[in-house]
Amino acid sequence: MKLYSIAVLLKTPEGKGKILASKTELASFGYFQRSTVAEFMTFTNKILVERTATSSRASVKEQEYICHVYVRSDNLSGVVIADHEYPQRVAHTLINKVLDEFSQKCPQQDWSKVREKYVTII
Amino acid sequence: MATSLQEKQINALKRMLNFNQPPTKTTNAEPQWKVLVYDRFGQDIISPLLTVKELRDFGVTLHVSLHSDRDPIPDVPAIYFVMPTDDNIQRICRDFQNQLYESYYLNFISAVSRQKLEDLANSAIQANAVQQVAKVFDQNLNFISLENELFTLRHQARESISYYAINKGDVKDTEMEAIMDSIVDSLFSVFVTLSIVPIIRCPRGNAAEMVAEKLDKKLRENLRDARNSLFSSEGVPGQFSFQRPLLVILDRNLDLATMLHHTWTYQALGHDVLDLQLNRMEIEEVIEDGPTMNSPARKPRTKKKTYDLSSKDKIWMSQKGHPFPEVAEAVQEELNAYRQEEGEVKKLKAALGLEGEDDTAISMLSDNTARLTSAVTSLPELLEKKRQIDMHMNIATALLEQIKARKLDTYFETEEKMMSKAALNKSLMDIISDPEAGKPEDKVRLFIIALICGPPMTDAEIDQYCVALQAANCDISSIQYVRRWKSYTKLQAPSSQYAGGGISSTSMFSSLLSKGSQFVMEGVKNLVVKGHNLPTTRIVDALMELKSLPDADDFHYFDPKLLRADASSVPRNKSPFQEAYVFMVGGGNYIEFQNLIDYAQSKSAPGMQKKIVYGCSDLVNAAQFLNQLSQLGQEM
Repeated sequence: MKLYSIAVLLKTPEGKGKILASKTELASFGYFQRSTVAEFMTFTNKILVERTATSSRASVKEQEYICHVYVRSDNLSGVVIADHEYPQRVAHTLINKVLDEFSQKCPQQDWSKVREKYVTII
Repeated sequence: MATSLQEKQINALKRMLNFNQPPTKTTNAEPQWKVLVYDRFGQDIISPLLTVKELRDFGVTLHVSLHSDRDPIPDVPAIYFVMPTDDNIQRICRDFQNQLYESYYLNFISAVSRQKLEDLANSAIQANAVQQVAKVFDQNLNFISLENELFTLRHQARESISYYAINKGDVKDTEMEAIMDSIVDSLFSVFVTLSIVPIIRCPRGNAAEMVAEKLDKKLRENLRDARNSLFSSEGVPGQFSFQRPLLVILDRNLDLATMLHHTWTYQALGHDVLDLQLNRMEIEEVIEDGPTMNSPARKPRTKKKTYDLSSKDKIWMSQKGHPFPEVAEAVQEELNAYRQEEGEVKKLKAALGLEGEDDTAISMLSDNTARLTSAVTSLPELLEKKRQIDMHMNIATALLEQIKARKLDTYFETEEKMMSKAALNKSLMDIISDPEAGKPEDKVRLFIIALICGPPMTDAEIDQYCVALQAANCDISSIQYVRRWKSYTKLQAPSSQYAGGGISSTSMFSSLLSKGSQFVMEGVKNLVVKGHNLPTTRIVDALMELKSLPDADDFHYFDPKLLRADASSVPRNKSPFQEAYVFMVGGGNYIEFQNLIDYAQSKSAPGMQKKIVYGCSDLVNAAQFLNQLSQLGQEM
């Protein structure tokens, strides 16, 4: 049961996904594959947020991973990438918690001004 | 004049054994007695190059391992050939204290650091042994050359730089740095021994890139250091090639299928089936002590015999790259030729026996004497030839047994067909479910090659095959790893990389049987392999001939001799390369080696010899590689 990445994104008004904070756990991948995998995860995070409507959750299967995404009503979204065994309920609870903490630490008006990947609080 | 890597390494060793002076005629005739002390690395380096007899000829009366308990021999100089690790240095310091030898000639296989030199000096002072330390040298011989065109980096300690070590999951940065540094150090010593600064090319984004960057940096620093450069050009008399060779560094992840391929050429078969290591093979032989070997009543006793396959063995050198049936025929012919010569010698003996009785024989006396002398001189050669022929007969018989038992010819044929995208005779599922054909690992190998080179399979089909494989007692964790590997490597039409081959099988070995040969190869197909290029060869071909290939266009270009390290250099060569060194990070095998050699020969025209030297971090056969893949699969 493994968790590969947690990311907080903002679904911008244009519909794009902007990564505000993310953390990945790549120790199980080969040394030289890590950069490729990290890129792949970033890309997946963005695409998922773009394609998910506001105020909805989704769990998408991609090869051996499942990506859980939740876009909140204020367009703050969280993506969790885990393996098949990780229970869906727990993943979404985790996303909720992360989003709550994030909005406490970083007020809403700053979200659109923040550069990509600026905040690291996880 | 020594031109190949192996010859240069042998010369360096000979100089070292002559107390670091070039050998002269007097030293060749009457060498001074000495003791040779080595560690594991030194042992691996020396053993394929010099036999015990040759060491004796150089005056080495005793050779011992560094970490064994040694008695003091106070009158004899000692030559150390070790790596500069902490353990070894401490042991040498202890030797100083114990006053083991008369004088010490310390030769470090790779460059020793300043810190360790100071440690050594300190302990020499404390032990009052400073006068006894005669010489301290950096030999820069940190590689094992097995043949003129083949070298590898490690044998006994190879787990540290194997494919598994580089690709496993939880590798820390420091560990990876250490692995890369040791590989770079070895490659550096290869080029120091050759006194050549090559042009380096490597793919992007993997271990090969890291090795290439570090090597480029190391070469560059060494060249800039004007006082200490190891590449001074005055040491290379008579080197007329104006073109610098190409060094292609590749990563094992480029091509996994070659490592698991079942093979059909002599040397590669020996490595795969009989575990050829450092040019040596061990075979269990049946001792014939009854009138017939096939008497079921008596269980045959077996004994392990070790065979050395050196470059002086003519049969080996000419046959090692040939397909097995050709080898069998060639050995048979040699045996016939030998029997003929033996017959002539016997006739001579008979003719001389009649000398006293036959008048006509007396007139032929002088003639006979000449023939006698020639027979006598050729006798040792004949005996040597007999020994070689026996050895190859035994090896070939052992190989044949394994081929028949495991149906390796079927595997080979199927894999070749898969690689060249031809239709299969027997479907994959049939071979896997066949309980007679081969060991479980053979089946897993076949399936992985099907995964990599064959038509794409859906997940459901793969699972079906996995079930069948598990029913046949196979371990499928390696398959999981290969599935993940496939999704990572951005493979652009991988199956096309193996194409261009073909296979035609003719039926039984009728011609051989009619010659009354000992080889009964019924049921083994006489497979004729049409030449085809493995991915490695294709890339090397593209780089050497400056052709454009989608895989190879994206390669980095490093030239250590350029003044500025330009990260985005464009290749500046206009003419194709004549000489190339191909290095595979993460393990290699004889199949790749043979393919490169065949390619070089096919491209060589008289007057324009193409030379390719193949090196790899270690030589693994398919079984060992499969183990590594399984381990990786289990840890995923």
